[in-house]
Amino acid sequence: MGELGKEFFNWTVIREMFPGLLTEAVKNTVVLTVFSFAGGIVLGLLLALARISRHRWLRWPVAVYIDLFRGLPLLLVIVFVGFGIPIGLGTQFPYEPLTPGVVALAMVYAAYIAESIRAGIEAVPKGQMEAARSLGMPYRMAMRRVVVPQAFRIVIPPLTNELLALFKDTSLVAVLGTRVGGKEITKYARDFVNHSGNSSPLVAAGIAYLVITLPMLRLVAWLDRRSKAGSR
Amino acid sequence: MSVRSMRLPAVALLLVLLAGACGKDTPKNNSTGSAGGGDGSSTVDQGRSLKTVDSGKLTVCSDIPYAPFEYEEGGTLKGIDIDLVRAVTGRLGIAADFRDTDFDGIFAALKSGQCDMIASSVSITDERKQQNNFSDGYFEIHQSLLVRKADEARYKDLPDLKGKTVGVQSGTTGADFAKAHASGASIKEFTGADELLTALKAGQVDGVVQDQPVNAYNAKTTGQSVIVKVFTEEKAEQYGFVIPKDKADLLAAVNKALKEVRSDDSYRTILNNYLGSTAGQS
Repeated sequence: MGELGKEFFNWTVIREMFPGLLTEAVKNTVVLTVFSFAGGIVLGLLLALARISRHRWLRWPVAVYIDLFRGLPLLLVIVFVGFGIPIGLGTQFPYEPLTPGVVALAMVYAAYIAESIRAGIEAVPKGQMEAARSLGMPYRMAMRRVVVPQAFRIVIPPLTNELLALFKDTSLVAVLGTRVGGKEITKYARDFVNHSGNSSPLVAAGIAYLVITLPMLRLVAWLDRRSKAGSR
Repeated sequence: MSVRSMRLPAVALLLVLLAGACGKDTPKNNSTGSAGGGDGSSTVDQGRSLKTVDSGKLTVCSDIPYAPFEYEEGGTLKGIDIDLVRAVTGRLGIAADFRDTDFDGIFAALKSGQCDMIASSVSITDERKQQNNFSDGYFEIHQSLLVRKADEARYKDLPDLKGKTVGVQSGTTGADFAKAHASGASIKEFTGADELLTALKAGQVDGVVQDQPVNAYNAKTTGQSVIVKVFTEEKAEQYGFVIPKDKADLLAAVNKALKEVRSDDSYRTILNNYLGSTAGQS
């Protein structure tokens, strides 16, 4: 265990990662996650509503969008948004490389989130919409006030899963390059491995992820149980 | 989560780690047994007696592409490093097998036993020598600054890039150089040299600091970039092959074969192939 312990649990090496592991790496991972997920939720909700729209000209292109981004590897989309668009259009994203990273993550995750939300909306019994409409509510108002709020309760467990996956996928954004102070957890740890020649930073990075993901996983399980046992 | 339910995954993880560690221990122990190699024997005998990661061939980690030293063209690997390694392993009577590895993870790959040697335009530095052995140097380079052709008149040296973005590859001597000398600029690190050069084209970095031959190759092949400065006032760097400290027999064999390759025409032929006959390496 001695040799193995030194390679994976070398506290001298791990101690050097602080405080940057928290003030830089975890911070940047969380920032990427929060902005991307916020964008993904907004875009995903719009996509979901368009996906179930009565208008074919709305439904169709959105279905194509969702299939496209669910079918593409995230890394490819990140490289396309981060390098392809600036080369093609000759313009730069502001706050680059954070912005293209967030845009790519939000675009891809919106497709997944849209499918989760659509499933949630469709799981709300038809009678709810019919009752709201029979009270004289227009379609949009009935959707906004009656169906979507109920759907959100249903989709919280799958959305938490998307958030978890997104949190881990932020590590891919490093392909666009990182500025001083701009590394997320995985890149931060890889650089420490490179400098120290020791694998312990990877273990520390893993723990940093788990500290955030394990409670979230438990939360998903709890929400899942609650929604199954719930009054609905 | 209770302690009990956490124990099972922890044990599983430990088993996986142990299995990995045992797997890599076996060849390492064998190779130390036959250390030395003996200078009297022929190069081929020396090569064939080597204990390598994959027996019968030398597995070599390289960060591809890094033209003109290592790159893929038409489905085959090319470049000065590639051809030089093949010349060396040819002398040793074994095959060479290349493994593409990001530069920022390449020393870890060597340490974890994924390859026997690194041939990836690695400059010999004192810091790197603390962890690994280097072969004799085989190529001399300086750092250089590459900019877009349109900016040729604006940026002549690193101070001109004050407030701009300078791109480097993580873990390289170019990154260290830029951090030390481009204080007014924002340094942006990339894991791959290919992304680094793409970022210059995309306008996300305004200058690239890396080894002169690599920047020169990009300038020549793309026609869109130009080297505005070669930092010849700094001490030149020597490329060497990187070999783990516990493989002294491999180091001796590679150095011997390298000397043979350099003593006849094959080394010069390789350089001429990629750099043209003006290549000034001795």
